Amino acid sequence: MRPGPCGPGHSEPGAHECACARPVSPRSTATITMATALPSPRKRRFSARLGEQPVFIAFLLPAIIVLAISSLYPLGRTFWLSFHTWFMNQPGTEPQWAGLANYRAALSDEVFRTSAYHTAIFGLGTVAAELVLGLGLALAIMTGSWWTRVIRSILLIPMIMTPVVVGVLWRILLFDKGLVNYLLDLVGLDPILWFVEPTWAFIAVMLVDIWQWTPFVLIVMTAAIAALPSEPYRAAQIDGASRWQVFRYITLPMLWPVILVTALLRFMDAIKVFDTIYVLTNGGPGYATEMLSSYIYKQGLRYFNIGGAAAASWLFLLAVIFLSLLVIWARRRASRSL
Amino acid sequence: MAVTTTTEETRRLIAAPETRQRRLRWGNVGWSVARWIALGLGLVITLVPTLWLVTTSFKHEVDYLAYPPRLIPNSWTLDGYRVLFERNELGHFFMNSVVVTLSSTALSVLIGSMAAYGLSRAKLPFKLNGILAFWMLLTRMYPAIVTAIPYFLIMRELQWLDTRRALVFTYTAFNLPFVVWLMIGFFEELPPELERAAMVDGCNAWQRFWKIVLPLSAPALVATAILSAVLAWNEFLFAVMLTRIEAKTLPVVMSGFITDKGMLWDQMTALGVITVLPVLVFALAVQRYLVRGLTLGAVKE
Repeated sequence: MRPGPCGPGHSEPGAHECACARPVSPRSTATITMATALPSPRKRRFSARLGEQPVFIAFLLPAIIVLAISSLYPLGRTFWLSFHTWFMNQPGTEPQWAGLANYRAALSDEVFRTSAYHTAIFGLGTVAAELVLGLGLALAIMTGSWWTRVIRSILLIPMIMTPVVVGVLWRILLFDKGLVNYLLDLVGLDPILWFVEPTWAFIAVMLVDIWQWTPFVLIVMTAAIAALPSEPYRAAQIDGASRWQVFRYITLPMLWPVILVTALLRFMDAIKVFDTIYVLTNGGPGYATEMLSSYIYKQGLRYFNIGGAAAASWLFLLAVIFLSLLVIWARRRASRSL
Repeated sequence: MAVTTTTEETRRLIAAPETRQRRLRWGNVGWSVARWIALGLGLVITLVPTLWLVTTSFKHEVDYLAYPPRLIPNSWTLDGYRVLFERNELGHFFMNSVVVTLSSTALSVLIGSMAAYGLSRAKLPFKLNGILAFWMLLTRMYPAIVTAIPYFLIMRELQWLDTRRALVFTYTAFNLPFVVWLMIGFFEELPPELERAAMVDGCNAWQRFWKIVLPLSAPALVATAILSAVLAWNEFLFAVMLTRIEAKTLPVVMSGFITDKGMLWDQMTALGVITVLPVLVFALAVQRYLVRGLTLGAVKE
């Protein structure tokens, strides 16, 4: 006996955000599809009897415990520490209540503000470049023949490389007498002291991030483009639309939700940047490439200004929570638009 | 009415929408040229640095410090690798990386897929499904650095600093949200009939999970495990913070070369090759799942 999908105790249609089984409208702006779009308009998913709920809670429990220890407790403790003054390097001292002093100090600290500014510029700049390059490459790669798949696999390499190794590698390539300066010399440009001049150092860390993470945009876009419905393209073909018109009025609008999700996800990761900075410039020269992550790390684990680091952490976290809500919203929109 | 998504055909149409108008032929030539230039440049910019890493590890000092720089050295040598292994307990650090990566991956996949099953099959009260899922997404989203200070303090109080178990716990926790989000997506794609039939046959939730859901999701589990392993293997921030000498992983050893050993490029790149090679092989093997993994299931291929 096989009870139908509408039997008692089963989930309601549309109760969850996954849109795998929605009917697809011809005017869809869909880009995110699944390999098997099911014809049924109802969510076909098994869900348990009510009597089994405690069992499922038991399934969830280990994960909840691990996450509570690893995320809730540290975040709470950071919050608590952010209202206290504590220099850990002075033995025998205890955290002293300080009110909002740490927050005031952080906000008026020139280095903190510079780091926040750098982090934002770094995130926006790298993500914009990665989107343009990644989308361009994805369009160029699109035919599905075997050699484009090989090219795609090769282009993925930077993304999988250990970030610390990427940093070391580019330190070698951007060395005063390294490959990049040699190439500049070949085309008649002056060599650049990449890690001495502040502006160039910042550009260097951005270039390295772009080198490493453009493949991310590339593979996401390749997947999204491959899943586009073919009807609009046939219509455009009949109407004799030019390649640019096809891109501008069909591909781009249909890809928009995916572009948004990718941009936000990438931005959230870009602003975490730590490894490559640590290896490439360590925030220098001066504070030219100091980011929030390296700032907090230094405050906490080099100057042992625990309260200051904690306050900076929470300011950073608040910004990120705001952005996360944006990601969720965009993600839901993207999967709903199917 | 459903739109048919003929992937192959769509790809061709996007890449080269055929047109009956003659004037666009030149446009097609231009596009082909632009395509080839873009792909060629992409390949060169990706491959030259990658090859540079590999060939530098086989260079003598005269070659890696030569100007103009040479990709292919005059003579090849294994000195970089030999000295690297002689001067460092590299085997020990390599094992640190392996043990930490494997243990944390096994733990996070086990705990994470259980949680994903619970989240995807249970209807919890008070919208808890949504809240838990959001919490896990947030855990993946916020910069790890904001928990770094108390984390360091906790590990110090537990006297876990510079131990492998500190890293195993940390990476298990890091990869949990990732595993949960991915596996929820996979579990939701399973045909419901099987579980329903199993329930009719008297399987309890635990049995359905172990005997039906997990075996059916084996490919997804493998892919998820490999992706988590790559993340754990590459992680640096917590590794550098929580280890000093004994429990150092390969990225930490690598960063040590920057600060105190000058320009030993042959050894540095040799270590780089050793660090990158294992993950590269595995990750390319599961690249079909990369998109889904890295977007937490937001985009599927």
